[in-house]
Amino acid sequence: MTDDQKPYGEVFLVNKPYRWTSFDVVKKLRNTLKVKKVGHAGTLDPLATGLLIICAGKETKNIDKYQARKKEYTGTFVLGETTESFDLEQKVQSVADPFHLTKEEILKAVSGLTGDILQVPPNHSAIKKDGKRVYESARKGILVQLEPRPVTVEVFEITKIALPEIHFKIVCSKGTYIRSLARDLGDSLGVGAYMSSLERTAIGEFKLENAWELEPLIEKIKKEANENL
Amino acid sequence: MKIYKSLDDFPEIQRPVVTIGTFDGVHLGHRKILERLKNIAHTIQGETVLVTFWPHPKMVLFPKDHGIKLLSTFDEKAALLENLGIDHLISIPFDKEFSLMESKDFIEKILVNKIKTRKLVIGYDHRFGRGREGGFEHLQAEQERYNFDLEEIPRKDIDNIGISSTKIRKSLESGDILKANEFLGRPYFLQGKVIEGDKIGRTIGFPTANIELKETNKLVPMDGAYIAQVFVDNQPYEGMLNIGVRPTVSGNKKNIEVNILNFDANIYEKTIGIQFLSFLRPEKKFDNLNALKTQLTRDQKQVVAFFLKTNIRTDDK
Repeated sequence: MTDDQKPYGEVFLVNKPYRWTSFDVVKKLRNTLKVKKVGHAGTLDPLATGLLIICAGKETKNIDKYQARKKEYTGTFVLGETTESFDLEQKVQSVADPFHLTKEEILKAVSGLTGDILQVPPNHSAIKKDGKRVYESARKGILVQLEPRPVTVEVFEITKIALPEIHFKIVCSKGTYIRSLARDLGDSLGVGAYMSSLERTAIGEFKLENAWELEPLIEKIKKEANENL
Repeated sequence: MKIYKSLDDFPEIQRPVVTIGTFDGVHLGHRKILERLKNIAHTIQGETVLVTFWPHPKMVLFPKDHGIKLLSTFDEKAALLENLGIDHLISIPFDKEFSLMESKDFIEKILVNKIKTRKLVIGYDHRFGRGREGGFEHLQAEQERYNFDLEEIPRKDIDNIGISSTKIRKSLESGDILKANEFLGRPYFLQGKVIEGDKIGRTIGFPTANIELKETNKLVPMDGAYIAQVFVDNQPYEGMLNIGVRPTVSGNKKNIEVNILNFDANIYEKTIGIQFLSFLRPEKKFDNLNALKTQLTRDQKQVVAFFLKTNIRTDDK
């Protein structure tokens, strides 16, 4: 540690590696920093990549503030098939042929999911109902009835259509599930859908392009620790 | 476990507790019989003996159209039996001549004179001797004369659990890996040598190891994509496996190939092992290599998610 007396606090912008859980990143940084208090401001699933904000030391007090900011994502949905979790964590099942869909039909369905909407979270999610995580019930085949929640989808832009896949950019409020948007879009088009990839490109004013790749960040922290010895 | 490929090699042992059968796959039903065998051996301080036949009798009796594919090669079966703690494995070479042996000769010459069976444990439906003429009732008629004990594993213990090698073969042939694995009590397994392929996979970012089976009689599951655990030099890796004719790259010869995640060593000529963990999708034809690549990217995510969920972690954080 340095010899100044200010309590330690730091914020890291990290590009979460593919297949790491958000908590894996927290653990890695906790071990490297040798600081007890480390946390992240908003989970990203293992299959997703993109911006993760990590707070260490006294900065952990600000986690809620970072978490409350709006999020920006890019990714892809597959139309015509679905899964129980609406991503690739569960088995893919065919629903209906999507190749008849026109650009206009797709954009119309998308506009119905834009703005202030009520959204039901996916059954495979970490929210709690009656003290239990709902995905635990879902994995046992019990689908819990979840309450719709108000969320805001500020931007829902289709950047490319290459059926069965469509590419999107979404800006949304805290608590919005992109997988639920996939589900609701699939239902609205009558062909089913699931999210096949996801990257978080911004949290509030913090951008992915300013984030560290994990490995160089770890190197940098270790190097600085050595210099301060 | 000692293995005898001929009856002549079998020595005299302590109070032999014997069972007979093909035991293909050594599934949960088989294990029930083997547990009973071991319990008896333990009680009377005897040694367990499993008598099996190789090749599988159907292959010898109906060489043209037996159509039978096996759940385990001889070596795999031997390894499974050894793990279960069987003391002696006798593999009787099954040929035309042997197939003509009458059931009473089988009892007298082999079970009694050669093995000196003290106790015989046998499934209610087990048949033996020429034309499958022999069964439990024949053994019962002879047991007093030859002074061995007989125990039948009753119908309810075998049929109620509903497990049979035939059912497992059917499950694998229809892609129902979960059911096959449940009946086997372990993941379905095969091994083979890595041979040169056409190297198309690597051009789209999915290099694969093409696998040549050691034995042609080994059952290959239904065509399609699978989640697999791959063993290279006994190290486990995550794998995405494809079985089929590869319609997108205009193939027509059936092949087995596996994309091993986080792996880039040269393993040509190496023997690798494959455990089937889950079925992903049937084989399908894509319009072009790019569409195939998109699909493989999604398949691979499912492989990654599967291993994250089941906590079979093969990488380091």
